[in-house]
Amino acid sequence: MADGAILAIFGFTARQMTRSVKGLLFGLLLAVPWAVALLLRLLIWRGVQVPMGGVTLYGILVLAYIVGFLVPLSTLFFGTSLIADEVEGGTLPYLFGRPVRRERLYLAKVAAMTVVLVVGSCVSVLGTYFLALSIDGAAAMSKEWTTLLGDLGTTALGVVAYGALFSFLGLALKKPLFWGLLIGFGWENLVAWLPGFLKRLTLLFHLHTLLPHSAQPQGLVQQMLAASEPRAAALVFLAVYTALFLFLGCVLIRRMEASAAEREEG
Amino acid sequence: MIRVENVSKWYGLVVGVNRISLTVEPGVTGLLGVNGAGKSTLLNLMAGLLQPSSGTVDLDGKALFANPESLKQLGYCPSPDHFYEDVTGLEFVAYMGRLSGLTPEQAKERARKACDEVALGEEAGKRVRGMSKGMRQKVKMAQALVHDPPVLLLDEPLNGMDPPSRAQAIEAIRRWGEQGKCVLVSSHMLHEVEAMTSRILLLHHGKLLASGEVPQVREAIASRPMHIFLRCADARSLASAMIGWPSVHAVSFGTDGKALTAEVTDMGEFRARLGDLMAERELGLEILNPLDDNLSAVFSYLVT
Repeated sequence: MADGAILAIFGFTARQMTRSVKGLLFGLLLAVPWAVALLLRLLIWRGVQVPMGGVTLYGILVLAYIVGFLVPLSTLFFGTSLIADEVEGGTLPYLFGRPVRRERLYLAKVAAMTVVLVVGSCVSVLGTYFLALSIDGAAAMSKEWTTLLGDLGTTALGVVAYGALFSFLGLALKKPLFWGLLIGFGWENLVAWLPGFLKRLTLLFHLHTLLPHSAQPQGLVQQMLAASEPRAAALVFLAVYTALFLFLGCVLIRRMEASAAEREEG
Repeated sequence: MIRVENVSKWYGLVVGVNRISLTVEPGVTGLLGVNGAGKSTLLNLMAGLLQPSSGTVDLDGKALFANPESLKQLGYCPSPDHFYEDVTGLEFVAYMGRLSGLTPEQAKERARKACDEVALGEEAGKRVRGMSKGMRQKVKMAQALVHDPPVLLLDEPLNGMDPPSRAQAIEAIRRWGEQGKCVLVSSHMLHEVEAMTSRILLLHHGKLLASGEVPQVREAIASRPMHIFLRCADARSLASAMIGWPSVHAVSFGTDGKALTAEVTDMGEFRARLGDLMAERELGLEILNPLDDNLSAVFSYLVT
Protein backbone atom coordinates (compact mmCIF):
# COMPACT_ATOMS: atom_id res chain seq x y z
CA MET A 1 0.00 0.00 0.00
CA ALA A 2 1.02 3.64 0.05
CA ASP A 3 4.16 4.80 1.81
CA GLY A 4 1.92 6.94 3.99
CA ALA A 5 0.79 3.79 5.79
CA ILE A 6 4.39 2.80 6.44
CA LEU A 7 5.20 6.27 7.75
CA ALA A 8 2.14 6.12 9.99
CA ILE A 9 3.22 2.76 11.45
CA PHE A 10 6.74 4.10 11.91
CA GLY A 11 5.54 7.22 13.72
CA PHE A 12 2.97 5.40 15.84
CA THR A 13 5.49 2.74 16.93
CA ALA A 14 8.14 5.32 17.78
CA ARG A 15 5.61 7.35 19.74
CA GLN A 16 4.46 4.31 21.69
CA MET A 17 8.04 3.33 22.49
CA THR A 18 9.02 6.72 23.80
CA ARG A 19 5.89 7.07 25.92
CA SER A 20 6.02 3.64 27.51
CA VAL A 21 7.42 2.53 30.86
CA LYS A 22 10.06 0.60 28.92
CA GLY A 23 10.97 3.84 27.16
CA LEU A 24 11.40 5.61 30.48
CA LEU A 25 13.58 2.76 31.77
CA PHE A 26 15.69 2.94 28.62
CA GLY A 27 16.10 6.67 29.22
CA LEU A 28 17.39 5.98 32.71
CA LEU A 29 19.72 3.20 31.58
CA LEU A 30 21.35 5.29 28.90
CA ALA A 31 22.31 7.86 31.53
CA VAL A 32 24.10 5.32 33.76
CA PRO A 33 27.55 5.79 32.13
CA TRP A 34 27.15 9.54 32.57
CA ALA A 35 26.66 8.98 36.29
CA VAL A 36 29.77 6.76 36.41
CA ALA A 37 31.84 9.36 34.57
CA LEU A 38 30.58 12.07 36.91
CA LEU A 39 31.43 9.89 39.89
CA LEU A 40 34.98 9.46 38.61
CA ARG A 41 35.31 13.21 38.19
CA LEU A 42 34.02 13.71 41.71
CA LEU A 43 36.54 11.25 43.10
CA ILE A 44 39.42 12.94 41.23
CA TRP A 45 38.19 16.34 42.37
CA ARG A 46 38.22 15.17 45.98
CA GLY A 47 41.80 13.94 45.57
CA VAL A 48 41.09 10.22 45.54
CA GLN A 49 43.63 8.17 43.59
CA VAL A 50 41.84 6.36 40.76
CA PRO A 51 43.49 3.62 38.69
CA MET A 52 42.28 4.89 35.31
CA GLY A 53 41.95 8.04 33.29
CA GLY A 54 39.04 9.35 31.29
CA VAL A 55 40.01 7.62 28.04
CA THR A 56 40.21 4.21 29.70
CA LEU A 57 36.95 4.76 31.54
CA TYR A 58 35.26 5.78 28.30
CA GLY A 59 36.56 2.66 26.55
CA ILE A 60 35.32 0.39 29.32
CA LEU A 61 31.91 2.05 29.44
CA VAL A 62 31.41 1.78 25.68
CA LEU A 63 32.67 -1.78 25.49
CA ALA A 64 31.21 -3.30 28.62
CA TYR A 65 28.15 -1.19 29.25
CA ILE A 66 26.84 0.34 26.03
CA VAL A 67 27.77 -2.28 23.42
CA GLY A 68 27.88 -5.23 25.82
CA PHE A 69 24.82 -4.45 27.93
CA LEU A 70 22.65 -1.47 26.96
CA VAL A 71 22.35 -2.32 23.26
CA PRO A 72 21.52 -6.03 23.72
CA LEU A 73 19.19 -5.33 26.65
CA SER A 74 17.23 -2.51 25.01
CA THR A 75 16.87 -4.34 21.69
CA LEU A 76 15.89 -7.48 23.58
CA PHE A 77 13.06 -5.78 25.45
CA PHE A 78 11.79 -3.68 22.57
CA GLY A 79 12.48 -6.18 19.79
CA THR A 80 10.84 -9.22 21.34
CA SER A 81 7.76 -7.19 22.23
CA LEU A 82 7.44 -5.44 18.89
CA ILE A 83 4.74 -7.82 17.62
CA ALA A 84 4.19 -9.77 20.85
CA ASP A 85 2.72 -6.66 22.52
CA GLU A 86 0.24 -6.32 19.66
CA VAL A 87 -0.71 -9.97 20.07
CA GLU A 88 -1.08 -9.75 23.85
CA GLY A 89 -2.84 -6.42 23.67
CA GLY A 90 -5.26 -7.79 21.08
CA THR A 91 -4.48 -4.96 18.65
CA LEU A 92 -2.95 -7.14 15.94
CA PRO A 93 -6.26 -7.60 14.07
CA TYR A 94 -6.40 -3.82 13.56
CA LEU A 95 -3.04 -3.96 11.77
CA PHE A 96 -3.48 -7.23 9.91
CA GLY A 97 -6.96 -6.22 8.79
CA ARG A 98 -5.57 -3.24 6.87
CA PRO A 99 -4.30 -3.21 3.28
CA VAL A 100 -0.63 -3.11 4.23
CA ARG A 101 1.74 -5.87 3.26
CA ARG A 102 2.67 -7.72 6.41
CA GLU A 103 6.38 -7.59 5.58
CA ARG A 104 6.29 -3.82 5.19
CA LEU A 105 4.35 -3.44 8.40
CA TYR A 106 6.96 -5.52 10.23
CA LEU A 107 9.92 -3.70 8.70
CA ALA A 108 8.34 -0.33 9.50
CA LYS A 109 8.02 -1.33 13.13
CA VAL A 110 11.58 -2.68 13.25
CA ALA A 111 12.83 0.53 11.63
CA ALA A 112 11.01 2.69 14.17
CA MET A 113 12.46 0.71 17.04
CA THR A 114 15.94 0.85 15.52
CA VAL A 115 15.85 4.61 15.00
CA VAL A 116 14.67 5.30 18.56
CA LEU A 117 17.28 2.99 20.07
CA VAL A 118 20.10 4.22 17.82
CA VAL A 119 19.35 7.81 18.79
CA GLY A 120 19.16 6.89 22.49
CA SER A 121 22.31 4.75 22.45
CA CYS A 122 24.29 7.32 20.49
CA VAL A 123 23.22 10.06 22.90
CA SER A 124 24.53 7.82 25.66
CA VAL A 125 27.88 7.36 23.85
CA LEU A 126 28.18 11.10 23.19
CA GLY A 127 27.39 12.06 26.76
CA THR A 128 29.84 9.47 28.07
CA TYR A 129 32.51 10.73 25.70
CA PHE A 130 32.24 14.32 26.83
CA LEU A 131 31.88 13.56 30.53
CA ALA A 132 34.66 10.93 30.65
CA LEU A 133 37.23 12.50 28.35
CA SER A 134 36.88 15.96 29.80
CA ILE A 135 38.56 14.46 32.87
CA ASP A 136 41.76 14.22 30.80
CA GLY A 137 41.33 17.66 29.31
CA ALA A 138 40.40 19.17 25.97
CA ALA A 139 43.47 17.72 24.27
CA ALA A 140 42.29 14.14 24.93
CA MET A 141 38.88 14.99 23.55
CA SER A 142 40.20 16.38 20.31
CA LYS A 143 42.61 13.43 19.96
CA GLU A 144 39.94 10.78 20.38
CA TRP A 145 37.20 12.14 18.13
CA THR A 146 37.79 9.45 15.49
CA THR A 147 37.30 6.88 18.24
CA LEU A 148 34.01 8.57 19.05
CA LEU A 149 32.87 8.31 15.43
CA GLY A 150 33.82 4.64 15.34
CA ASP A 151 31.97 4.00 18.60
CA LEU A 152 28.86 5.76 17.35
CA GLY A 153 28.90 3.72 14.14
CA THR A 154 29.49 0.44 15.96
CA THR A 155 26.76 1.19 18.49
CA ALA A 156 24.32 1.93 15.67
CA LEU A 157 25.30 -1.29 13.89
CA GLY A 158 24.85 -3.16 17.16
CA VAL A 159 21.31 -1.81 17.53
CA VAL A 160 20.49 -2.73 13.94
CA ALA A 161 21.84 -6.29 14.22
CA TYR A 162 20.52 -7.05 17.70
CA GLY A 163 17.22 -5.38 16.82
CA ALA A 164 16.79 -7.68 13.82
CA LEU A 165 17.74 -10.73 15.91
CA PHE A 166 15.37 -10.04 18.80
CA SER A 167 12.50 -8.92 16.58
CA PHE A 168 12.80 -12.24 14.79
CA LEU A 169 12.91 -14.14 18.10
CA GLY A 170 9.78 -12.25 19.18
CA LEU A 171 7.97 -13.75 16.20
CA ALA A 172 9.53 -17.18 16.20
CA LEU A 173 9.43 -18.24 19.85
CA LYS A 174 6.75 -18.58 22.47
CA LYS A 175 8.86 -17.19 25.31
CA PRO A 176 11.05 -14.78 23.39
CA LEU A 177 12.23 -12.83 26.42
CA PHE A 178 13.60 -15.94 28.10
CA TRP A 179 15.32 -17.19 24.95
CA GLY A 180 16.46 -13.69 24.15
CA LEU A 181 18.12 -13.34 27.55
CA LEU A 182 19.75 -16.72 27.06
CA ILE A 183 21.05 -15.80 23.62
CA GLY A 184 21.82 -12.14 24.30
CA PHE A 185 23.60 -12.57 27.60
CA GLY A 186 24.49 -16.26 27.63
CA TRP A 187 25.53 -17.34 24.17
CA GLU A 188 26.77 -13.93 23.05
CA ASN A 189 28.88 -13.20 26.11
CA LEU A 190 30.32 -16.66 26.51
CA VAL A 191 31.05 -17.61 22.94
CA ALA A 192 32.28 -14.19 21.77
CA TRP A 193 35.40 -14.64 23.90
CA LEU A 194 36.15 -18.23 22.92
CA PRO A 195 38.94 -19.06 20.48
CA GLY A 196 38.07 -20.72 17.18
CA PHE A 197 35.35 -20.14 14.61
CA LEU A 198 32.33 -20.42 16.88
CA LYS A 199 32.61 -16.82 18.05
CA ARG A 200 31.83 -15.70 14.51
CA LEU A 201 28.32 -16.94 15.16
CA THR A 202 27.84 -14.15 17.69
CA LEU A 203 27.08 -10.52 16.96
CA LEU A 204 29.21 -9.30 19.86
CA PHE A 205 32.45 -10.67 18.41
CA HIS A 206 31.98 -8.73 15.18
CA LEU A 207 30.98 -5.60 17.07
CA HIS A 208 34.13 -5.88 19.17
CA THR A 209 36.15 -6.12 15.98
CA LEU A 210 34.63 -2.86 14.81
CA LEU A 211 35.15 -0.94 18.03
CA PRO A 212 38.01 1.50 17.33
CA HIS A 213 39.63 0.94 20.72
CA SER A 214 41.05 -2.28 19.33
CA ALA A 215 43.16 -0.33 16.84
CA GLN A 216 45.65 0.50 19.55
CA PRO A 217 46.36 -2.68 21.54
CA GLN A 218 48.03 -1.15 24.57
CA GLY A 219 45.94 -1.28 27.71
CA LEU A 220 43.72 -3.93 29.27
CA VAL A 221 40.62 -2.94 27.30
CA GLN A 222 42.53 -2.81 24.06
CA GLN A 223 43.99 -6.24 24.65
CA MET A 224 40.57 -7.67 25.40
CA LEU A 225 39.36 -6.21 22.14
CA ALA A 226 42.29 -7.33 20.01
CA ALA A 227 40.64 -8.12 16.69
CA SER A 228 41.12 -11.47 15.05
CA GLU A 229 39.26 -10.73 11.83
CA PRO A 230 39.39 -7.85 9.38
CA ARG A 231 36.84 -5.10 9.93
CA ALA A 232 35.43 -5.64 6.46
CA ALA A 233 34.68 -9.23 7.39
CA ALA A 234 32.94 -8.06 10.58
CA LEU A 235 30.81 -5.68 8.54
CA VAL A 236 29.89 -8.43 6.08
CA PHE A 237 29.02 -10.85 8.88
CA LEU A 238 26.81 -8.25 10.61
CA ALA A 239 25.11 -7.34 7.35
CA VAL A 240 24.43 -10.98 6.51
CA TYR A 241 23.09 -11.77 9.99
CA THR A 242 20.88 -8.68 9.97
CA ALA A 243 19.50 -9.45 6.51
CA LEU A 244 18.91 -13.08 7.47
CA PHE A 245 17.01 -12.22 10.65
CA LEU A 246 14.92 -9.60 8.88
CA PHE A 247 14.15 -12.01 6.05
CA LEU A 248 13.11 -14.76 8.47
CA GLY A 249 10.97 -12.27 10.38
CA CYS A 250 9.25 -11.30 7.13
CA VAL A 251 8.60 -14.95 6.28
CA LEU A 252 7.06 -15.57 9.69
CA ILE A 253 4.85 -12.49 9.73
CA ARG A 254 3.58 -13.31 6.24
CA ARG A 255 2.16 -16.58 7.57
CA MET A 256 1.09 -15.31 10.97
CA GLU A 257 -2.55 -15.38 11.99
CA ALA A 258 -4.25 -12.84 14.24
CA SER A 259 -4.55 -13.30 17.97
CA ALA A 260 -5.87 -16.45 19.60
CA ALA A 261 -7.98 -14.26 21.89
CA GLU A 262 -10.29 -13.77 18.94
CA ARG A 263 -11.20 -17.41 18.64
CA GLU A 264 -12.18 -17.71 22.29
CA GLU A 265 -14.99 -15.29 21.70
CA GLY A 266 -16.91 -17.80 19.63
CA MET B 1 -19.33 -10.25 -2.55
CA ILE B 2 -17.58 -12.52 -0.05
CA ARG B 3 -17.58 -16.18 -0.94
CA VAL B 4 -16.74 -18.88 1.57
CA GLU B 5 -16.33 -22.29 -0.01
CA ASN B 6 -16.11 -25.49 1.96
CA VAL B 7 -14.05 -23.79 4.65
CA SER B 8 -12.86 -25.50 7.79
CA LYS B 9 -10.63 -24.11 10.49
CA TRP B 10 -9.04 -26.26 13.16
CA TYR B 11 -7.03 -25.19 16.16
CA GLY B 12 -5.16 -28.41 16.79
CA LEU B 13 -7.91 -30.88 17.61
CA VAL B 14 -10.52 -28.18 18.18
CA VAL B 15 -12.78 -27.37 15.27
CA GLY B 16 -13.47 -23.67 14.83
CA VAL B 17 -15.69 -23.93 11.78
CA ASN B 18 -16.47 -27.04 9.79
CA ARG B 19 -17.01 -27.21 6.01
CA ILE B 20 -18.89 -23.96 5.68
CA SER B 21 -19.99 -22.65 2.31
CA LEU B 22 -21.85 -19.37 1.94
CA THR B 23 -21.91 -16.05 0.15
CA VAL B 24 -22.54 -12.64 1.65
CA GLU B 25 -24.42 -10.32 -0.68
CA PRO B 26 -25.02 -6.56 -0.46
CA GLY B 27 -27.37 -5.57 2.35
CA VAL B 28 -27.35 -6.59 6.00
CA THR B 29 -26.91 -10.24 6.96
CA GLY B 30 -27.12 -11.41 10.54
CA LEU B 31 -24.67 -14.04 11.75
CA LEU B 32 -26.27 -15.86 14.63
CA GLY B 33 -25.02 -18.42 17.08
CA VAL B 34 -24.47 -19.03 20.75
CA ASN B 35 -21.07 -18.26 22.30
CA GLY B 36 -18.52 -20.68 20.88
CA ALA B 37 -20.57 -21.40 17.76
CA GLY B 38 -17.74 -20.22 15.51
CA LYS B 39 -19.02 -16.72 14.62
CA SER B 40 -15.76 -14.92 15.42
CA THR B 41 -13.69 -17.59 13.72
CA LEU B 42 -15.78 -17.24 10.58
CA LEU B 43 -15.53 -13.45 10.69
CA ASN B 44 -11.76 -13.64 11.24
CA LEU B 45 -11.48 -15.91 8.22
CA MET B 46 -13.52 -13.43 6.21
CA ALA B 47 -11.42 -10.51 7.50
CA GLY B 48 -8.24 -12.17 6.22
CA LEU B 49 -6.87 -12.62 9.72
CA LEU B 50 -7.00 -16.40 9.79
CA GLN B 51 -5.98 -18.80 7.08
CA PRO B 52 -8.48 -21.60 6.39
CA SER B 53 -7.26 -25.09 7.24
CA SER B 54 -9.12 -26.15 4.12
CA GLY B 55 -11.36 -24.43 1.58
CA THR B 56 -11.23 -20.86 0.29
CA VAL B 57 -12.43 -17.45 1.39
CA ASP B 58 -12.38 -14.74 -1.25
CA LEU B 59 -13.70 -11.29 -1.97
CA ASP B 60 -14.69 -10.73 -5.59
CA GLY B 61 -12.57 -13.71 -6.58
CA LYS B 62 -9.42 -12.65 -4.71
CA ALA B 63 -8.17 -14.59 -1.68
CA LEU B 64 -8.50 -12.66 1.57
CA PHE B 65 -5.79 -13.94 3.87
CA ALA B 66 -3.02 -11.32 4.17
CA ASN B 67 -3.95 -9.88 0.79
CA PRO B 68 -3.81 -6.05 0.73
CA GLU B 69 -5.75 -5.87 -2.54
CA SER B 70 -8.79 -7.53 -0.95
CA LEU B 71 -8.37 -5.94 2.48
CA LYS B 72 -8.73 -2.49 0.89
CA GLN B 73 -12.41 -3.23 0.38
CA LEU B 74 -13.06 -4.48 3.85
CA GLY B 75 -13.77 -2.94 7.25
CA TYR B 76 -13.61 -5.19 10.28
CA CYS B 77 -14.87 -4.44 13.78
CA PRO B 78 -13.49 -7.11 16.15
CA SER B 79 -15.42 -8.30 19.16
CA PRO B 80 -12.79 -8.17 21.94
CA ASP B 81 -12.44 -4.84 23.72
CA HIS B 82 -8.79 -4.22 22.80
CA PHE B 83 -7.28 -0.85 21.93
CA TYR B 84 -4.24 1.34 21.99
CA GLU B 85 -5.38 2.94 25.22
CA ASP B 86 -3.30 6.12 25.27
CA VAL B 87 -4.61 7.71 22.11
CA THR B 88 -7.87 9.54 21.57
CA GLY B 89 -10.71 7.92 19.65
CA LEU B 90 -10.14 10.29 16.75
CA GLU B 91 -6.40 9.63 16.67
CA PHE B 92 -7.01 5.89 16.65
CA VAL B 93 -9.58 6.04 13.87
CA ALA B 94 -7.34 8.40 11.84
CA TYR B 95 -4.38 6.03 12.33
CA MET B 96 -6.48 3.19 10.95
CA GLY B 97 -7.38 5.46 8.04
CA ARG B 98 -3.71 6.10 7.33
CA LEU B 99 -3.11 2.36 7.29
CA SER B 100 -5.85 2.10 4.70
CA GLY B 101 -3.98 4.45 2.41
CA LEU B 102 -5.56 7.82 3.29
CA THR B 103 -3.37 10.91 3.44
CA PRO B 104 -3.03 12.57 6.89
CA GLU B 105 -5.61 15.21 5.93
CA GLN B 106 -8.03 12.69 4.45
CA ALA B 107 -7.58 10.43 7.47
CA LYS B 108 -8.44 13.25 9.89
CA GLU B 109 -11.47 14.29 7.90
CA ARG B 110 -12.72 10.73 7.38
CA ALA B 111 -12.11 9.88 11.04
CA ARG B 112 -14.32 12.79 12.11
CA LYS B 113 -16.98 11.71 9.63
CA ALA B 114 -16.86 8.06 10.75
CA CYS B 115 -17.12 9.09 14.40
CA ASP B 116 -20.14 11.23 13.57
CA GLU B 117 -21.65 8.32 11.62
CA VAL B 118 -21.64 6.17 14.75
CA ALA B 119 -22.87 9.08 16.92
CA LEU B 120 -19.65 9.33 18.90
CA GLY B 121 -19.79 13.10 18.89
CA GLU B 122 -17.38 15.05 21.07
CA GLU B 123 -16.49 11.89 22.99
CA ALA B 124 -14.23 11.02 20.05
CA GLY B 125 -11.68 13.52 21.37
CA LYS B 126 -11.27 11.62 24.65
CA ARG B 127 -8.53 9.12 25.31
CA VAL B 128 -9.76 5.59 24.69
CA ARG B 129 -8.65 4.59 28.21
CA GLY B 130 -11.26 6.92 29.72
CA MET B 131 -14.16 5.85 27.51
CA SER B 132 -17.15 3.76 28.53
CA LYS B 133 -17.64 0.32 26.96
CA GLY B 134 -20.35 1.66 24.68
CA MET B 135 -18.12 4.49 23.45
CA ARG B 136 -15.29 2.06 22.83
CA GLN B 137 -17.64 -0.07 20.75
CA LYS B 138 -18.47 2.99 18.68
CA VAL B 139 -14.76 3.72 18.16
CA LYS B 140 -14.31 0.16 16.90
CA MET B 141 -17.18 0.62 14.48
CA ALA B 142 -15.79 3.97 13.32
CA GLN B 143 -12.36 2.48 12.56
CA ALA B 144 -14.03 -0.16 10.40
CA LEU B 145 -15.83 2.58 8.47
CA VAL B 146 -13.09 5.15 8.14
CA HIS B 147 -11.96 4.22 4.62
CA ASP B 148 -15.56 3.76 3.42
CA PRO B 149 -15.22 0.08 2.48
CA PRO B 150 -17.94 -1.71 0.50
CA VAL B 151 -17.79 -4.67 2.91
CA LEU B 152 -18.26 -4.39 6.68
CA LEU B 153 -17.75 -7.27 9.08
CA LEU B 154 -19.05 -6.38 12.54
CA ASP B 155 -18.44 -8.85 15.37
CA GLU B 156 -20.93 -8.29 18.21
CA PRO B 157 -20.91 -4.52 17.59
CA LEU B 158 -23.68 -3.69 20.05
CA ASN B 159 -22.06 -5.28 23.11
CA GLY B 160 -21.94 -2.92 26.04
CA MET B 161 -24.00 -0.16 24.43
CA ASP B 162 -26.87 1.47 26.31
CA PRO B 163 -30.37 1.26 24.72
CA PRO B 164 -30.26 4.64 22.92
CA SER B 165 -26.82 3.84 21.51
CA ARG B 166 -28.04 0.41 20.42
CA ALA B 167 -30.94 1.98 18.60
CA GLN B 168 -28.57 4.45 16.88
CA ALA B 169 -26.18 1.67 15.93
CA ILE B 170 -28.96 -0.53 14.58
CA GLU B 171 -30.22 2.40 12.53
CA ALA B 172 -26.71 3.05 11.20
CA ILE B 173 -26.20 -0.61 10.25
CA ARG B 174 -29.52 -0.68 8.41
CA ARG B 175 -28.54 2.53 6.62
CA TRP B 176 -25.22 1.06 5.46
CA GLY B 177 -27.08 -1.97 4.16
CA GLU B 178 -29.51 0.25 2.27
CA GLN B 179 -26.57 2.15 0.80
CA GLY B 180 -25.50 -1.11 -0.85
CA LYS B 181 -22.72 -2.10 1.49
CA CYS B 182 -22.24 -5.76 2.23
CA VAL B 183 -22.71 -5.84 6.02
CA LEU B 184 -22.31 -9.02 8.06
CA VAL B 185 -23.21 -8.55 11.73
CA SER B 186 -22.67 -11.25 14.31
CA SER B 187 -24.72 -11.44 17.46
CA HIS B 188 -26.18 -13.88 19.92
CA MET B 189 -29.01 -11.43 20.67
CA LEU B 190 -31.78 -12.42 18.34
CA HIS B 191 -33.91 -9.35 18.74
CA GLU B 192 -30.97 -7.15 17.77
CA VAL B 193 -30.43 -9.01 14.53
CA GLU B 194 -34.14 -9.07 13.88
CA ALA B 195 -34.20 -5.29 14.16
CA MET B 196 -31.52 -4.99 11.49
CA THR B 197 -32.40 -7.65 8.95
CA SER B 198 -34.43 -10.72 8.18
CA ARG B 199 -31.51 -12.36 6.35
CA ILE B 200 -29.56 -14.68 8.59
CA LEU B 201 -26.77 -17.21 8.76
CA LEU B 202 -27.08 -19.53 11.69
CA LEU B 203 -23.99 -21.23 13.10
CA HIS B 204 -23.84 -23.95 15.70
CA HIS B 205 -20.82 -26.00 16.80
CA GLY B 206 -18.88 -24.60 13.86
CA LYS B 207 -21.42 -25.67 11.27
CA LEU B 208 -23.78 -23.58 9.20
CA LEU B 209 -27.21 -24.77 10.26
CA ALA B 210 -29.31 -22.46 8.13
CA SER B 211 -29.13 -19.45 5.86
CA GLY B 212 -31.67 -17.20 4.14
CA GLU B 213 -34.68 -15.09 5.12
CA VAL B 214 -36.12 -15.98 8.53
CA PRO B 215 -39.54 -17.18 7.22
CA GLN B 216 -37.83 -19.24 4.50
CA VAL B 217 -35.54 -20.80 7.02
CA ARG B 218 -38.49 -21.54 9.23
CA GLU B 219 -40.38 -23.23 6.43
CA ALA B 220 -37.32 -25.23 5.51
CA ILE B 221 -37.40 -26.93 8.87
CA ALA B 222 -40.01 -29.41 7.78
CA SER B 223 -39.32 -31.94 10.48
CA ARG B 224 -40.28 -29.55 13.28
CA PRO B 225 -43.93 -28.49 13.61
CA MET B 226 -44.78 -24.81 13.39
CA HIS B 227 -47.09 -23.33 15.99
CA ILE B 228 -50.10 -21.45 14.60
CA PHE B 229 -52.33 -19.47 16.89
CA LEU B 230 -55.98 -19.23 15.81
CA ARG B 231 -58.93 -17.47 17.36
CA CYS B 232 -62.49 -18.03 16.14
CA ALA B 233 -66.09 -18.16 17.35
CA ASP B 234 -66.35 -21.95 16.91
CA ALA B 235 -62.95 -23.22 17.98
CA ARG B 236 -64.20 -26.75 18.76
CA SER B 237 -65.51 -27.33 15.21
CA LEU B 238 -62.31 -25.97 13.76
CA ALA B 239 -60.18 -28.19 15.98
CA SER B 240 -62.18 -31.34 15.17
CA ALA B 241 -61.78 -30.62 11.44
CA MET B 242 -58.09 -29.81 11.67
CA ILE B 243 -57.08 -32.84 13.71
CA GLY B 244 -57.84 -35.07 10.73
CA TRP B 245 -55.53 -33.19 8.38
CA PRO B 246 -52.14 -34.83 7.68
CA SER B 247 -50.39 -31.47 8.08
CA VAL B 248 -51.66 -30.95 11.65
CA HIS B 249 -49.63 -32.72 14.30
CA ALA B 250 -51.56 -31.58 17.40
CA VAL B 251 -54.11 -29.04 18.58
CA SER B 252 -54.39 -27.44 22.02
CA PHE B 253 -57.08 -25.10 23.36
CA GLY B 254 -56.69 -21.78 25.09
CA THR B 255 -58.43 -20.98 28.37
CA ASP B 256 -61.39 -19.05 26.94
CA GLY B 257 -62.47 -21.80 24.51
CA LYS B 258 -62.09 -19.49 21.48
CA ALA B 259 -58.35 -19.70 21.04
CA LEU B 260 -56.37 -22.70 19.91
CA THR B 261 -52.83 -23.50 18.86
CA ALA B 262 -52.15 -25.97 16.07
CA GLU B 263 -48.81 -27.68 15.51
CA VAL B 264 -48.44 -27.73 11.74
CA THR B 265 -45.84 -29.70 9.78
CA ASP B 266 -46.74 -28.51 6.26
CA MET B 267 -47.76 -24.87 6.14
CA GLY B 268 -48.79 -24.96 2.46
CA GLU B 269 -51.16 -27.87 2.88
CA PHE B 270 -52.55 -26.37 6.10
CA ARG B 271 -53.31 -23.05 4.42
CA ALA B 272 -55.05 -24.78 1.48
CA ARG B 273 -57.23 -26.95 3.72
CA LEU B 274 -58.08 -24.05 6.02
CA GLY B 275 -59.15 -22.02 3.00
CA ASP B 276 -61.40 -24.84 1.81
CA LEU B 277 -62.88 -25.22 5.28
CA MET B 278 -63.64 -21.53 5.60
CA ALA B 279 -65.37 -21.63 2.21
CA GLU B 280 -67.56 -24.51 3.41
CA ARG B 281 -68.38 -23.32 6.92
CA GLU B 282 -68.80 -20.07 8.81
CA LEU B 283 -66.17 -20.42 11.52
CA GLY B 284 -65.83 -16.78 12.48
CA LEU B 285 -62.02 -16.84 12.21
CA GLU B 286 -60.63 -13.69 13.86
CA ILE B 287 -56.89 -14.32 14.18
CA LEU B 288 -54.39 -16.56 12.41
CA ASN B 289 -50.87 -15.91 13.65
CA PRO B 290 -47.74 -18.06 13.10
CA LEU B 291 -46.00 -18.04 16.49
CA ASP B 292 -42.68 -19.34 15.18
CA ASP B 293 -42.07 -16.93 12.36
CA ASN B 294 -39.34 -15.10 14.23
CA LEU B 295 -35.66 -15.57 14.89
CA SER B 296 -36.07 -16.73 18.43
CA ALA B 297 -38.18 -19.69 17.41
CA VAL B 298 -35.98 -20.56 14.45
CA PHE B 299 -32.92 -20.35 16.63
CA SER B 300 -34.30 -22.52 19.41
CA TYR B 301 -35.58 -25.10 16.94
CA LEU B 302 -32.27 -25.37 15.21
CA VAL B 303 -29.92 -25.47 18.14
CA THR B 304 -31.91 -27.58 20.62
